[in-house]
Amino acid sequence: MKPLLGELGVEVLPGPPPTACPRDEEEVRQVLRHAASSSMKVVPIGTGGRLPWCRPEASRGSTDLLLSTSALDQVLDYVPGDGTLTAQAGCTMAQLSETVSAGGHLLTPAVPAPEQATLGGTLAAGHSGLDRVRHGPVRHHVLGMKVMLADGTTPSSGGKLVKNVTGFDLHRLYTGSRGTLCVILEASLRLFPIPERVLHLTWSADSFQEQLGRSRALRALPLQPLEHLLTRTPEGWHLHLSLAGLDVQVDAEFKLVLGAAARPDEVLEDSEAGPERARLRDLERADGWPQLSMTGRPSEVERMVESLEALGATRLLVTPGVAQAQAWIPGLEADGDVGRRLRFLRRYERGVGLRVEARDVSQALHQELSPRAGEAPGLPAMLDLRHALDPDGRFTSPIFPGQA
Amino acid sequence: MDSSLLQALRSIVGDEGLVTDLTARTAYDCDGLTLQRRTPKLVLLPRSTDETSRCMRLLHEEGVPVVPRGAGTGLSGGATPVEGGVTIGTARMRDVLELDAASRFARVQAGVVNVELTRCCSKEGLFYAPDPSSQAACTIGGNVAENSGGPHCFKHGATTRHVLGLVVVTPTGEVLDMSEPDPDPWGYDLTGLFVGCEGMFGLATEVTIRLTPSPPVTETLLSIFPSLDACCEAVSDIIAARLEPSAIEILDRLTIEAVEASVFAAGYPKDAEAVLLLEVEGGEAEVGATTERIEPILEAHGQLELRRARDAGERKRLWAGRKGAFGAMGRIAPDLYVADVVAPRTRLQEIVRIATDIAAERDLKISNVFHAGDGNLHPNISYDRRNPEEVAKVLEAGDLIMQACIERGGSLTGEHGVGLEKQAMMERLFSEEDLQTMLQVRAALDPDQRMNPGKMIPLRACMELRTRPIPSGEAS
Repeated sequence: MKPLLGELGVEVLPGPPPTACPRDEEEVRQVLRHAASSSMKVVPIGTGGRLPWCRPEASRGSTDLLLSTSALDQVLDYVPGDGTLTAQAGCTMAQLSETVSAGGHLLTPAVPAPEQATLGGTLAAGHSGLDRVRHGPVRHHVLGMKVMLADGTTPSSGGKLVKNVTGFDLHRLYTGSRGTLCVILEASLRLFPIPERVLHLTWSADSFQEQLGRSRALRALPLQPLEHLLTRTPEGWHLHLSLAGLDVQVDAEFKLVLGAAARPDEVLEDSEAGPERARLRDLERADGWPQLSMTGRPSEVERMVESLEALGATRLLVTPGVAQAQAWIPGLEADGDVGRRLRFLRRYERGVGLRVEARDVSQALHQELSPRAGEAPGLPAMLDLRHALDPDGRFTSPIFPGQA
Repeated sequence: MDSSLLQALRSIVGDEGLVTDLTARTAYDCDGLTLQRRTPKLVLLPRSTDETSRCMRLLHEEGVPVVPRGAGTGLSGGATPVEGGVTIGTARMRDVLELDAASRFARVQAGVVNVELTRCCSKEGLFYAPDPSSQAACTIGGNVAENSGGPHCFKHGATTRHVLGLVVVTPTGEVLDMSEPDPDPWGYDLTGLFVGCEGMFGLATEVTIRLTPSPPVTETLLSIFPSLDACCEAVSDIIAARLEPSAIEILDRLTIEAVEASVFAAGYPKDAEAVLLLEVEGGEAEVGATTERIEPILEAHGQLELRRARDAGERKRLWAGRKGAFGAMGRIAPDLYVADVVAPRTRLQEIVRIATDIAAERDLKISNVFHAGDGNLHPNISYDRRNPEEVAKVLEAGDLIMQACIERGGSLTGEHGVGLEKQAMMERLFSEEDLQTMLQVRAALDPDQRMNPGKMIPLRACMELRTRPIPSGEAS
């Protein structure tokens, strides 16, 4: 394996599984050709930080080859006057953030560990940060993409423009496809203005009900927070709110907040707010990925938290406006007691519109929790799409999308 | 149409849902792209997802092509009937199925009219942000098919950012219920892929829509300029300063004259070379501060006067002029070619000049009204379709404007879709591999290619034929 790829001049890191690190588009093509001739399964990655979440089978060595795009690390185009950025997949989010901040722009999503997270990995994972409360999910900000399919072709879709409806939005299909359709080579993103001022507020309390009530009162105000989340630690429940924007706007919004809720226990201005916001941003993967993510409707947040606490969650991160709760649950295994309760919960919650997804759990549990035919309405279409773009199953995952 | 098939379809949708009479069918001959017409073999108007599914199943069994249709306000020929095809309209699917104000979404049938959605949720302090000029008539289903925009998409984004879920009837009649508003849907983003597919993957019968909180304060400004160039430069500088009004619209002199002579008269100054219509939304402090920062930019570019809407009535009037601009063009000539190109926002002025020159060289009347903040230009050419020579010049000018945009990093369409109108230009923007991949995706979702066939992707290879919009007259 290694000598063959080595003969092609592509750097290969030893495994298992080995990781090919092509330096340009042609080398990516050579790796895929080699994989095709050797009937190898390939998992495209950035630096592989999200593998336990996205492709647990690969994170445990159950694939033939990892293909890292981390060496494709060129910023291709940043035009401050257009507010758009085009970069190769291997650029880290920190690198891109630094590039665009020079022109007064903010890069979204604010993902955990931006020094390691690559653009391609972030988009393949469909990973939105806590700033989605204001800016929306990452899939909304991808303006275009260039990818490589398993056959070595390199189709593009979309473009670099903030408004464009020419052709099918295939970049929406690739975003969140977790490396099961293609290798992402380049992408263009829409940028946002860096807020003039950020004010980070925290309230602490023992009761979830009290914090949820406060959160709802704040959500009813005409605010445009960058982050609005609840966290549960052994010390209790914490409500975090980041006001951001023009200086006078932040002042006015803070007054509104004080009129609707008790004075926050902590108020951090710009430079002090930065480290705290980074801590929250990175919380998601402080001890590996959260083990369970539950989504539903904002009106169902209370029930989501109750369900996760009943499963034994020790830590929780809840974004009420997005209706997403992430939980760390010790002992979450397919054949364990928690696993059995989770399977029951999943059957029950699906009936009432909630959805649970396990991350960084055993492959068996991950696979078991994936929808079966008949459970996910789009599953047959997803499998047809996968077959259309990757007929030989070069990027196939036993987990995503689930098997029919 | 086979009589037994007709009878079976009638048994599903009833007499009210079946349009067989030739005169009645001619109302479905075209959409806003009136250059191309074809009378559909039959028009079906189902009342529900179930009726649509049963009709689609029968049509699948008989191999009949299907053209989905909302209100027919599209401008690119997306709803133009096809040879031997049946048009399925959503005109009788007009129910709001659910309004969850706490979760800020609504679930509606595809035939709900855009502006009605905002009307039904305004009591809850919410509104539906995408606002195409045709919003008083166009449907949510049509907006989904075309990924429609509108002036306020500068801040709020086009339709795709507001669609949380869909119920889609596939070409074979299966129902894909993806209506639950999951923030990160499991698997591939089929909803995102479906929005803007121009009816080529299936027919959306229900849409789950994100609703936006109404802003506490809205300031509407009308800035008057002595030249279109200066107006464009001011917009580029507002974007470069990273200011975020909710809408940035430009109307040029010819448009102003047409609007002011029409029922949409908004009080725009007739002697201005261009006006910039700006709207700023948010809290009072945010609106005040943003406006304060915009004003010096406008002044630096030679603004003659700045007017502010003093109340809701005045605001409505200013917007009525903008949204009625296309209709007002009827005063200039009987027909209007509405181009819909996108330019990088740093090259607005350059593209506008090129479009003006292209029209002048051909002795055509061109007017400009556009979503300047998004770089989405609508150079409009007024003409008379009874004059074949003029029609040829209009189409040539349209092609050249699109080509100029492509060469400067722009695109073919910002909100109207490709349809038939821009189909032939797709090969200039996309490579063979790009288009082939689009075809592969299409084939995965519609293997028989019966959904809105012959649209968007240039027809190539042995199974397909290359086409171009027909210069004049009727297709059949």
